[in-house]
Amino acid sequence: MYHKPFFLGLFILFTLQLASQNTLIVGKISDKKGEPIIGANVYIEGTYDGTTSESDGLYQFNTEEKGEQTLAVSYIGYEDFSITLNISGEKVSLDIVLEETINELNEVVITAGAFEASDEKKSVVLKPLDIVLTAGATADLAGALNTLPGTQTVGEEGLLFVRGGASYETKTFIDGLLVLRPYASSVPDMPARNRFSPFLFKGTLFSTGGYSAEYGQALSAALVLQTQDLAPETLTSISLMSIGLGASHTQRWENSSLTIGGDYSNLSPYMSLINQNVSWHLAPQGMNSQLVYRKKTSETGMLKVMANASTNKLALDYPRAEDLSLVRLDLHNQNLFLNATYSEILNDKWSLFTGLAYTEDTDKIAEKFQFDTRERSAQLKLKWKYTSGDFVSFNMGLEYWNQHYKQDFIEANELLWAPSLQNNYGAAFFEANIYLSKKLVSRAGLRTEYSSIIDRWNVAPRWSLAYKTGDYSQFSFAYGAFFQNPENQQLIYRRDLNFERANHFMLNFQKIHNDRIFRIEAYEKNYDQLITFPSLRSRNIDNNGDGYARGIDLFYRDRKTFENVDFWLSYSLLDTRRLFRDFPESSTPNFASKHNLSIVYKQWLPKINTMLGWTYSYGSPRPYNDPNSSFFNAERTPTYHDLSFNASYLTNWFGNFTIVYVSVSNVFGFEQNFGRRFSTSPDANGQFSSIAVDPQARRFLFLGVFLSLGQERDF
Amino acid sequence: MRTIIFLFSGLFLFSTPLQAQQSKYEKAMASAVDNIRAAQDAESFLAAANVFERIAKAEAEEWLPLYYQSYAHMMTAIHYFGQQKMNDCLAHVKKAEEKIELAKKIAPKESEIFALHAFILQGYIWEDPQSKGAQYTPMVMQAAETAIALNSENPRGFYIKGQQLFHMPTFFGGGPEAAMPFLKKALEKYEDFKPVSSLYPNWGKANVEQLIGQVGNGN
Repeated sequence: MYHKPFFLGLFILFTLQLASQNTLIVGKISDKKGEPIIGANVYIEGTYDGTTSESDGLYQFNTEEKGEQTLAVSYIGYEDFSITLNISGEKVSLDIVLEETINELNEVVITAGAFEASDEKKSVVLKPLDIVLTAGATADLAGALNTLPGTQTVGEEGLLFVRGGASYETKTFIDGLLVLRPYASSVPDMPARNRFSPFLFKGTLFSTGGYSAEYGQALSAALVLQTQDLAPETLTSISLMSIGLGASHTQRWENSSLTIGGDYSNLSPYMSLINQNVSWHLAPQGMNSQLVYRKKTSETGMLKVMANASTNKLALDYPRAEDLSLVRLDLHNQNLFLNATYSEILNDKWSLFTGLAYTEDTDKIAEKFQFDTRERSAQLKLKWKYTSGDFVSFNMGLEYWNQHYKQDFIEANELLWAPSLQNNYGAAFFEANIYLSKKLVSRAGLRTEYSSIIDRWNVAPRWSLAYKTGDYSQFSFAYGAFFQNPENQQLIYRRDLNFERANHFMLNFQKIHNDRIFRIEAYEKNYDQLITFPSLRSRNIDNNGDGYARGIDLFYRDRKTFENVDFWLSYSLLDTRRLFRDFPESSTPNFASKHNLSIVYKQWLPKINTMLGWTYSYGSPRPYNDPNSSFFNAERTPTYHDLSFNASYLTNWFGNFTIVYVSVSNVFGFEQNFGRRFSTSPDANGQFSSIAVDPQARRFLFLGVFLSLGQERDF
Repeated sequence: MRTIIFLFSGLFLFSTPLQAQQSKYEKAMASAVDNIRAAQDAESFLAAANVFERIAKAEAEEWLPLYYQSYAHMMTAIHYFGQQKMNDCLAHVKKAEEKIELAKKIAPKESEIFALHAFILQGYIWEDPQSKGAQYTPMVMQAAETAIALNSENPRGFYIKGQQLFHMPTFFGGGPEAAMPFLKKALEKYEDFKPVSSLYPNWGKANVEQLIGQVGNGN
């Protein structure tokens, strides 16, 4: 019935046709460790011919193409692979090894000295929201950073003291530009607050040492803040607080956004309700207005402008250490801060950043005499980045600052003394980031600075290395030389001084896995050329000081072990001595405590939309000097304990997202004391009298309601 | 026998180059679309993404292969999310967004592309709703609204908007109640929706029904 030969012939003809048309390509795809890659796309470029690698990494497909063809392989997380094949119909066998791409999850990063909070990067220690929601911080940047290791709690100042350094050794940078006066002015023994709301920033890099050559004029630490880009949407927010009120409006257009806001704070209602250790004439009050403009100038270009004007005042009766008599002290501060930056990616290798900043700050302090300080600073910064492939990039830049400083000493309407200073400061930096392998990265930099007022220049080398020891762990090492101008208060007496300097060495181990972070860092910091003077009133200023700080910082954070719980633990061990200022001998300074511990615990209660937070802080006794004693800095403050609590309740009022916020510091009312303040001259019996330095009140209570009035959507 | 010969000759006749190219694209797409509609797990969605990637690279003028590649990566991401493989999930969300941006360049006025983009943007929120929600919610809403503005008959714009509100905390003005009008509207549009061709997107109806069902059971 069937013509078998014909059928067979047809079959042979058919297979011959197939064989001559199709080429079989087979092989195996694996990574460098030899592990098979399953799911990779293997294909002849420009055609539909290809397949997906199966279990065991094996692939096999046919192609009708002939001649020179490109075989391409792609898989997420690996570099694209391609090879030219000459396809002739003969079976091709090809095993392929893919290289892992460097991405933020597996890349080795320099972590020595650096604590980073960011929403955009993965391997960071904190999120910006963590700063806002840390108990005790009451949304104050320094308050939150004080729960990280390497910081010392100095309750009477409220500033950042890092690794045995004085507060002036830590500098704040916003979008790469120095902030001259980041804190609102305060009087002695009153904690100061940062001028800038943590909500302004999308990223915070708190470097407790060994930082990049891009930053200078900070001996101990750099707080590098990165402002938000375009505001996500049009929004009006209103805040009602126990200490004041504020409002802001953000308008979002397609490629730009503008925020205008202002707030007013006045502590007098609060202070009249709750007993204070201080007798106020005028409880602290302030006004702050702000403008933030963002424009996306192209796909990759961004223009940022920020203007901030603030004024704050206070007046109180201040007990004199001499005889406890009260002296009236008035303080009035005005501050204007402008910051404009523009960044653009020029091509696939070069990107450009330019920045301008202007600050004007006036402090008027009136006691028996009047003491006015006026500071002005203009800054210009240019920075280029050159990237060559994934493994090499260079950062280079120039900075210029022009600074004016003027003080007026007035007594009974008579100008007694009016010193003024002008400084032109220039700096250039160059930094090379080189991946020596995928596990080893080096960042070597050089910064050189010139300061006209002291007519000196310096060269500061910086070098960091990081080596990845496992999928989630790495070691980092950092070294750097750091220079800082003497402070204006000393330069008004003598100008031919030298830079103060410090050398940092640190070794860090970090492991981040599954929402758990462990860090340990050992460091040594050596100071030289620190400013010294024989007594507080002496004009014999010199660079004869030196000192060291060494210690171990530990950090552990866990968001995994308990559901809806996030906690971290910071411990710092510090051993430091220095000869500086009016110290007669090398000694541990007043702002340094040997042991510091913070435990931050946050619990989210989803059923009632509430976040509870507790922060416990411990500081071992700090030294202070009793001039009646023959030993210098031999007295000790009591141990410091504080347990702060906060609660944020998230709700919806009349269709608007609302946060109700409560915080209490020192919930259990621990006795806190910051030492004693002594009279500057002895009494008739040759004794220096003193008074205790205590907190203004045992507790601080804060209540706030924050409303976000969103744009009406066409729901 | 004749029929066989006829069949073969017919096949060869069809193989004039231009026509072959045209039908080859449609044939490949049809089979790939069938595959993605049948896919059930991360592996099969990833294999589908690979097929669409090959077609997309060969057909630089077509937005549909890129669209489907993007969609397949997004579905892969969802399956990884279900397995708590957050890093893999995020990598595929990013890949999906990269591809939808390319599709947008080819067809900048295509409503479906914006609807899928809105869906992809939701993927970024899963990683850490507390910190990512505020950042991405306005972007999701905007993309979904653009999808609706470009084609008010596209049910997927309404669906994604409803889905976003559904999972948003009530204190932000979200929650099932706020989502309901959009989900119902989406369902209405699904009933009337007629894809331009069998290759065009037509997904999401079951999800809408499921979300509406959840509210029904909850109350």
